Amino acid sequence: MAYACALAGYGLAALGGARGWRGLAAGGGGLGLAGCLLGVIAVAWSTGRPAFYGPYETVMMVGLWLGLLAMWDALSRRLAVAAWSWGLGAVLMPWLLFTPIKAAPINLIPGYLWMPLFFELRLAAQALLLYAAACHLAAWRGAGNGAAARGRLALLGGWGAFMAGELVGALWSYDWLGDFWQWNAGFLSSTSLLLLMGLGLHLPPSWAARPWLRLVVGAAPGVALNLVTLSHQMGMGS
Amino acid sequence: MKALSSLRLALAAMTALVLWTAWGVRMAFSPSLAPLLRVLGDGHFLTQPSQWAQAPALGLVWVLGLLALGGLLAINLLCCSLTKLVRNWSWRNALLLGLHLAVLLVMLAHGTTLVVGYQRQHLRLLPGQSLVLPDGSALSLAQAHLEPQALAACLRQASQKQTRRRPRFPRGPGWASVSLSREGAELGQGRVAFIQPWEADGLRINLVGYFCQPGPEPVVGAILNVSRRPLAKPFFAAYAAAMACWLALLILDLRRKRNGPAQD
Repeated sequence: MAYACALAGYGLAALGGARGWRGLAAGGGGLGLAGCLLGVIAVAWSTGRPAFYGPYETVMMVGLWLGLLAMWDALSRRLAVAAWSWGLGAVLMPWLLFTPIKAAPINLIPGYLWMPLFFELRLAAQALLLYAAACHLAAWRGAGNGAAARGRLALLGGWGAFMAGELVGALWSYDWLGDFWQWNAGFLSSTSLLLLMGLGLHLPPSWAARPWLRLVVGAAPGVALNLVTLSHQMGMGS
Repeated sequence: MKALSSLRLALAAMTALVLWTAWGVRMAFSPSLAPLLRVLGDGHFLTQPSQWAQAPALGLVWVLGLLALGGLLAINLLCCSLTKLVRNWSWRNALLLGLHLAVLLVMLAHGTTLVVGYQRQHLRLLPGQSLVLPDGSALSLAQAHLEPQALAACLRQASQKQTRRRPRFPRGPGWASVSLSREGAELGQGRVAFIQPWEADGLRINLVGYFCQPGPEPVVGAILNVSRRPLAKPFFAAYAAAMACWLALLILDLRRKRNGPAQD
């Protein structure tokens, strides 16, 4: 039910936003947001912990953050950015067609905060970087430098949230395995993603003036992080 | 100096590192790289070139390439910070300088783990057994305790000769009592549990699992990780400083954006 609301809502909102139908966009955005909120509350209700892990919880949490940012944009009369945010939210939802729609079978370690905090910061980074992608897509399609500037700020926010997650993850690893760094695929993948985010923050001004280049470096981190996270979690769940 | 502090060099080094680390992810489970990653985790690989001859050539190329690219990025980060950011003073640049220097310290702390300290993973000890660590200390297991339900599962799996899967997020169903000594003199003894390590003499002991030996009197052993990371505290302090600078920078940029158009 929650998933159906989120999928249909964000799909309708993206359509309404793209066509300039404000009523449909706002209604669809509200429905999608309500669906994601319902999904997150249902996970907390059934498991007694916050939603933070597994494909279903990931998509619902990212959808929730993205929906809030899109709604804020829509209310601030930035419908182009909102439409792209809803569109990316709608693209994210169908991932759940390939995996069971349920909470992940894991429990919190009583009194230990680093583990859930690591995943929550990752989810915040996923949403902020997808929002950065939406801003850059809107700027590329003519929404102007204001949208690109918002995209850069979102990229900075997403980079920081991801980096903070890495710090918390290092603390978790230090407590669990005895070292703040592990030489494995997971840690190397995080480093690769962190550097990819850094690219968009270090474009020389003359390069940043090229819309296609700004789009590529601004949108790539959000797409890559969400693809890596979801494919990893869906692989683990199978 | 100008070339080394160039933004284009930073982009080139970062792009190369993105591709290099992605290649490493692809190879992480392959025979070319997996054994090298284990050795890198243990430490001392760089200080013992004799190990290089035994390493797979492709994996060695990857490790040396990673170090070269990481070193190039670190030099660029330092040069850029000391020229462009120091010369053009503003609060924003001061925060950027702090952020860049803190990130540089984090990178250096990572690099230092390759030559300073060590780590040994998944050491299996039965009660009464001990083993000598690379710095001459001896680690002994006095007792390992598992709660009855977890013990039954452990014994059942051991009797079926199944490989016990590592719990995804261990929840602490028991504990182990360990002691540390050097040249016959005891350095200390303590108790470890999941996510509750014990530290003595600069060593950190973590309990990461159990194993069981079935029989008339079943025995529970502990799987331990041991690490000596003298730069762990500076690493976390530098990371925290980077995060503080980032947060202040984000607030500053948000305020500037509210007061006027942000600069790209």
